[in-house]
Order: sequence, then C-alpha cells, then structure tokens
Amino acid sequence: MRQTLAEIAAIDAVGPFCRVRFSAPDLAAALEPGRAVLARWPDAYLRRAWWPCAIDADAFSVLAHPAQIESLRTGDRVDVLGPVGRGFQVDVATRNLLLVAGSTSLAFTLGPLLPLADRALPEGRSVTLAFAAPNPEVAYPVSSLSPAIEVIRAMDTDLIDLLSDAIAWADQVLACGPTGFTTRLSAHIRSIRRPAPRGFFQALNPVHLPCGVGACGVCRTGSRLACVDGPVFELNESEVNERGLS
Amino acid sequence: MIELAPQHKTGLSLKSPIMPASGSAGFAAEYAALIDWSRWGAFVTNPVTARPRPPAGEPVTIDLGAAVLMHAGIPNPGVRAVIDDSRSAWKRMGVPVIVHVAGTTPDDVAECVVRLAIIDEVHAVELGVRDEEDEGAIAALIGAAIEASEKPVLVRLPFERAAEFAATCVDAGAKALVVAAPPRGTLLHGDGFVSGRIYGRGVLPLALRAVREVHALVDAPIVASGGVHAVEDARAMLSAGAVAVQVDALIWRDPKAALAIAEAFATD
Repeated sequence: MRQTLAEIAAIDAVGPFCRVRFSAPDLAAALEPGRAVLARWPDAYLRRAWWPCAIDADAFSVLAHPAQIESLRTGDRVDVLGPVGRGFQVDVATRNLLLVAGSTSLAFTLGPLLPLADRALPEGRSVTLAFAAPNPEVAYPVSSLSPAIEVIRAMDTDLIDLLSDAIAWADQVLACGPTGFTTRLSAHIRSIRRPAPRGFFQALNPVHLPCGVGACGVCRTGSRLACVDGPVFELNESEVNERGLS
Repeated sequence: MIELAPQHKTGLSLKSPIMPASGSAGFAAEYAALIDWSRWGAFVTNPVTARPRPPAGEPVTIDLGAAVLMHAGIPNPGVRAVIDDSRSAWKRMGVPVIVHVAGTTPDDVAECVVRLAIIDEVHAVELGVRDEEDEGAIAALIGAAIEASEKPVLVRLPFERAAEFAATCVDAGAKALVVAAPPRGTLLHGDGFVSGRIYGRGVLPLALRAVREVHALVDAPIVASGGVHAVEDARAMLSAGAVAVQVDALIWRDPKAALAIAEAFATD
C-alpha cells in the first residue's frame, strides 16, 4: 500500500458516465480487479473508495457520474491511497466467466467488473456480463464493450431471473452489488450449482472504507474487515458483509 | 524528554509529544506500510475490552465535507487476542505503547488491565470513561485499573464533561489526562436520527478550550486530543498547557500529513 499523487490524464464521456484516467505508475502496477483506491475528494472529509474500471501498467481509470467529478480537470493531481483489500480471484482453469452488476448504480457496480473482462478475453476466456438497466438512457453503453462479451441486460425483469442458464454455463460468477442482491444471487446459484466449487461465486460490495487499513473499524462485520479481508468475499462470506452501497 | 507520569515509579517518558489518538491507528501494525511510528512519541491502540466485542449494529459514516460523523461501536477481538496479535508489532515500534481500555465496568477493566500488566511491550494504560458515568463510577473504574497493574494509568475524559471530571480522575490516581474523546453528535439521516463521534479540524477550537479549562483546574500532565490537522494545531495545544498531543482522523484522511506533524516534533 502506498499514498501517492495521481495525475488525471483524461476525462472521457462513456454514455451517461465519465471515465477518469489517472496516471499513477507506482500504484497501477499493484492494482488488481476488485481492489480499491481511496482518493481525497474536494467535497469530502474522508477518502472516497473507487474501484477501477480499467487497469493498465502505469494508469487506472474509474467510472463516475459527471456530477461526482465536476470539479476535476485533466492535469489535476489527486491524492490516492491503495491498493486496498483483497480482489477477485480468477481460477486458472476458468474458461467461462459470468460477471454480474447488481444494482442500477452502474458506476459503482459495473465499473469494478470491467477489468476482469479486459483480462479474461486476451486469455481466451469467454465472458458474459449481466446488468440491470430499466432506463436505457442511464445504462452503460453496450457499444463501448468488446463485441466478444455477451451481454445480458434486464430491462423490466429481475436480473437474477435471467441468469439461470448463464450460471449453469459459468465456471465462476463474479458479482458486484449491495448485500441484498448478492445474498439473493447466492441463493439462486446454490439452487443451480450445489455444491459450488470453492471460489465459484465471489462478490464485491462497494462499501465505505474510511481508512482502508483496518484501523477505524467501520467496515467490520463480525471478525472480518471489508478493507482487509474483503471487499471481495467468496460465496457465504459475502452474506456476512452487510453494508450498503457507498 | 516529556514525562507523562512524573509521580509514578516507572514513569512514562516520551521522545516526542505526538501520538495517535485511540481509535485512529488500529491495534498495532495496520498502518505499518504508511506510517513509521518510531518517529512519534508513543503509540495508542484502539479501545480494547476484556471480551471480544462486535461492531455497532449499524455503523455510521456521514461525511459533511469539513467533518465526519462516525459510529462503529468499540469493535475489538478482546484483550487476549489483541495481545497475541499485536505483541510482536509493539516490540518493533520503538516507542512506548499505550493500550486504551474501554471503561465499561470495574470488573471488565480489571480483567483487561491484569492481562496487560504482565506484557513488557505495554508501557501504560489509557482508560476511556463515558460521559454518562457519575464521579463515583469513574473513580471506581480508575481504582480498578490501578489495582490491577503497576503501569501508569492515563484517563481519557469525555469531551462534554472533561472539566467536570478532571479533578475526580486525578484524585482517583490518574497520572495524566487525555482531553478529550471526540465529541458526540447527532444528525438526521434518512428517516431517523443517528449519533456518533465528530471528527474534523472544526473540533480544534472546542478541544483547545477544553484543554485550557482542564489545565486551569488540575495539576496533572495533559494530553490534548481533538481536531489536530497541522503542526500549528499541535503547537496551539502545547501552548494551551498540554504536554503531548494526539492526532485522530487526520491519520485516515491523510497519513502523510499526520506523519509530517510527528516529524516536526521528532528528535533525531
């Protein structure tokens, strides 16, 4: 873990969202999908946790709503701390990867899954990405995704109801969303894949991580700290993580 | 050297007046990758209790921009686990370790402090007392801690009643007073009110006032705590009569800035 200054290299519109690219060579090299970056933010006392939507050798990007970043400009330097926590673990044997964004706050729940797709496709894995977008105007633009990714988009139905075939197909299900969603998804997975192999279902709940090192205790549930033991938890583990979306 | 327990047989000597406030820096090694504690005067742990204590049912973090309201309860794995997990890190710190014991009941405090008494890596106990206690209950808590160990006992006063309780604590045997725990506050959040402790630089003038009040009332070393976010804030606390200063939420917000305060007072 390190605290460093990351320079904003670019801010690009992606549908209704903005993608902010930070140049931070010493931090980017240590990032993994699911691990967080805590950034100082002009309107906040505490750092804000971001889960990168893209990770390169010397830079990372985050997905944000335009209102969240209206004070930021290209060239600004932002104090960041990371990487925080334990990320997703993709098994070397996995061929079929199901990624599930579990709320309509897609900047929070879809963004953290995108680096998994970025890494999986060049490795020859098949990727299905599922998310709910009842209002197409605020949905993540499918056209910006690789055409190799199969997309399941729930418009006016429960996303989980659409996932049975994909769960049966998947070697791993990696999800991001609030506990209520991941708990329901977990139950659905167990009704289809029982017993599920170790690491089959992993879920990230993008919660507040005020300190990021396990000192403040705010993200503790039972004996687990989201910032140290998570924020990605395996099946069953995710059910003890009872925090809401940040 | 700064002496925090001048009337005590072992004393509590610090090379620097700067230390983390309880609740800010964890139990031992949490910030090891970011903060060199050897540049500080002492290390103060998060609160411990005799038995494991779960987190608050519904932790609260409400960021107001200039300050934050937080409530996590006193989550800790219990004093035995804290000792087992932290002892080797305490040994490597190179500064006195002060374990904060949550002042729950005299029996709980005694059980906690007895276990700490035989740990060489622990140099003192900081006892936290709650604002809802009366003076008799506070004296009983301090008495239980002193009875259980020969290590110096510091008392962290509740913010709202620091001046009221100061003399009682010194009379009961507290070697130094920490002024004070973060103030409590309440906000309307959603459909209901939530309470927690308030952190931010806005706490500084309130804490500075409390330090001056307590300094005028008692003849005991004072460790100032609350709202310190810069070297000049720490100097103001020392000018107000404190002999040492604790840094709290700045450690979460900006570990480098917290370390810079410690470096400004470090003696090489």
